[in-house]
Amino acid sequence: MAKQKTKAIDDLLETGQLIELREIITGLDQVSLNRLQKLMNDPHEFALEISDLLPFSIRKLIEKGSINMADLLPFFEDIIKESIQRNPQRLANLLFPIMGPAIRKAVSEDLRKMIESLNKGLESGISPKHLKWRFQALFSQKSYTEIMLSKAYVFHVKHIFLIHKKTALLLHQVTDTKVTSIEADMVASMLSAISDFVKDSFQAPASENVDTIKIGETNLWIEEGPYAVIAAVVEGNPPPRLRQTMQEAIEAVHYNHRTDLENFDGETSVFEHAEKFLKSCLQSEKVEKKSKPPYFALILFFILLGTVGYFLVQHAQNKKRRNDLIEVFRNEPGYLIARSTFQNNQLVLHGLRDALSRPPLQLAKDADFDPSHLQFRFQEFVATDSAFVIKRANETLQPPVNVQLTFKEGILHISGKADESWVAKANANYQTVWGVKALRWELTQAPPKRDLSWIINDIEAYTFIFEFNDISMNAAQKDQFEKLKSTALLLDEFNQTQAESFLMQIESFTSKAGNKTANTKIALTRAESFMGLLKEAGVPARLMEATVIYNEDIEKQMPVRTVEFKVVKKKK
Amino acid sequence: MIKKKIAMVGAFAVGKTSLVQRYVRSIFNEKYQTTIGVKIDQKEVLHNGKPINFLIWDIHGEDDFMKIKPTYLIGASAYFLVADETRAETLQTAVKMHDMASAVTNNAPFILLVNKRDLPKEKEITEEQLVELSQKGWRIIHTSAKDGTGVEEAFAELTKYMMEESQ
Repeated sequence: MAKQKTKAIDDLLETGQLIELREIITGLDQVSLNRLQKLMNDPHEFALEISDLLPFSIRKLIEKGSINMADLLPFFEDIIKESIQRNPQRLANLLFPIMGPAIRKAVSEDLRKMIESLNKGLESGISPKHLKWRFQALFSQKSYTEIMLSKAYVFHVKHIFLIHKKTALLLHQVTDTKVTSIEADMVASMLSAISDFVKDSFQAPASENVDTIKIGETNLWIEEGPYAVIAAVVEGNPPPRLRQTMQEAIEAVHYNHRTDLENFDGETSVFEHAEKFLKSCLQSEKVEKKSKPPYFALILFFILLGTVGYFLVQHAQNKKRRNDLIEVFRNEPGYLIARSTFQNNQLVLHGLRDALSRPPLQLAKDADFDPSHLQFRFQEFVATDSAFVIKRANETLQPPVNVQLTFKEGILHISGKADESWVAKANANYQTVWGVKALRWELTQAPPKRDLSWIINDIEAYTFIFEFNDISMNAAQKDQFEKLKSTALLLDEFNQTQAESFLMQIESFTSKAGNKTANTKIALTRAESFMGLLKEAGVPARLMEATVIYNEDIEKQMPVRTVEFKVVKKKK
Repeated sequence: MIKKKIAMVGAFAVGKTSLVQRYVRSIFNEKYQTTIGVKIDQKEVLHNGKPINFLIWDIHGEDDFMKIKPTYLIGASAYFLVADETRAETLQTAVKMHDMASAVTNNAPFILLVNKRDLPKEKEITEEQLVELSQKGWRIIHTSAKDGTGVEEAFAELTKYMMEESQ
């Protein structure tokens, strides 16, 4: 019976009738059935099959309310908790690339609030520098704090090292082209050694790292990732945003080279691709040097120029005032200025001063010159200016009010009205007045009798000795000649006023020895020549007479070529 | 460029620094060894025509006053153990350090350098001791810091071990 049934099935299969019958009953062909059978028998295949549907189904279930989110949360929390308990580092490493930005965002928000607070605090800064920054903020649409902070950071990143954390080997480096390269491999390893040393020495937890080393103006900033660190050698005062750039760079390196870092065996060429991340850290910021006019230097220059100019003008004015004062003293009667010096800010005048002259301080005061800047070193002398002679004559002779005195060429002219007694007194004392040789009375009343004896004695006292056939006079003789002329004029005046006829004989001495005629002629010529000179000087010819005296005719022998004078009464 | 960190460890005054002084490029003073306990030098070697840059961590010799910091050995691809042939205790120190270094470096290749071969003093490290270590698989090279004997050979051999290890 069984054999018959099996045989019947085999027959059906052979003819395909059974397959046809199965398709009619189930609606599935053989391929679909095989696939369903495989899904049922292979869980992996089944999981793969429903993986596309499962998220969609879960979402549908949540939408329908069949599954509550709150029901799912404990499930996922337990999974994460279990994972952390088993290997916390793994999750930390996985989260590292997203933790940085998340933390930064939170920190930057706090920082923004802090800066706002700081901004308010800084509003009170009123120094010139702060005021300048405040103006810049006003015109640049930036906050005052931004301006202030930007002025504080002047820095230059010179080297960036990417260092493998475990081996301390340098994976890659970028350097500013303007700085000299250094032994980066050794420096990077030594840096790691120092970092290890510091951590070991202070028993720092593994999670804490050395992030800053400062050597004078050079800063070493270190930013760590799970497998590598970035070290930046920075000159100057870097801003916090450099640290943020470094964080972003180390995150990018880990994101792109995680496998290379995990499996690092010494081959560093692969990290050349990290250069673009490292280069972003090569920043620098310099103090702006605008090509604006150097106002400060110009102001300083003009101040200096003004100061120098002021002192030069002052110096010139002072010098002119000193010269003007010297000129005042030179022109002042009774003063003879020999020289002037300038010592200890004082003008010192050296020279002679007549006691009757105006006081020197009075002169300085009149010239508007500060006496404290003045010194006098004068010796006394007697001035022969007519004004001083008249002053002295007034002091000595004390003339009555109706008498006027004038002085000219040694003669004191007296005019006006005076009584006999004063005239006698004046005649007796006038010789004590320095510079007065004689008096000329020009009183409107009868003039007093002249002192003829003095005139005669004076004229006859002069002697001139000349060279042969020459009557030119030396300086002393000229002086004598002038005095002789004055006295001769007095004699003429005496003749005029007293109706007398005294004559001044000009005696030329010679000898009869040899050719007497020739000697006489020469002597006469000499006397006449001298007479001519006196005539030229203003002595009237009527007063003079030339004569020749022979030595043989007189007792006293006179040197030949001598000219002397004798006053005689003219024969009527 | 391939770079490798290698370490030199051994007892105090076994001649670690003198041994490599003539063969390496150095920018750091020896004072670093007495301050932070390590000085780093650099040496470039050729292996199969390719340059390999060695960063040599010359670690301060261990004595009663200063222990070496295991952190300095972390990441080393190989290391030299150095002993002074005229002082037996330096071999014991080297053996002790090997245990530590091996653990820290995860069984990195190493070579024992028995130094001061040139000194006429009596040798305290016996051939038997060295044979015993050889039998454990230790590679041992006699060196002299004075005349440079064995130094280049040691570097070449360590390079070979390292490269085999990494392959």
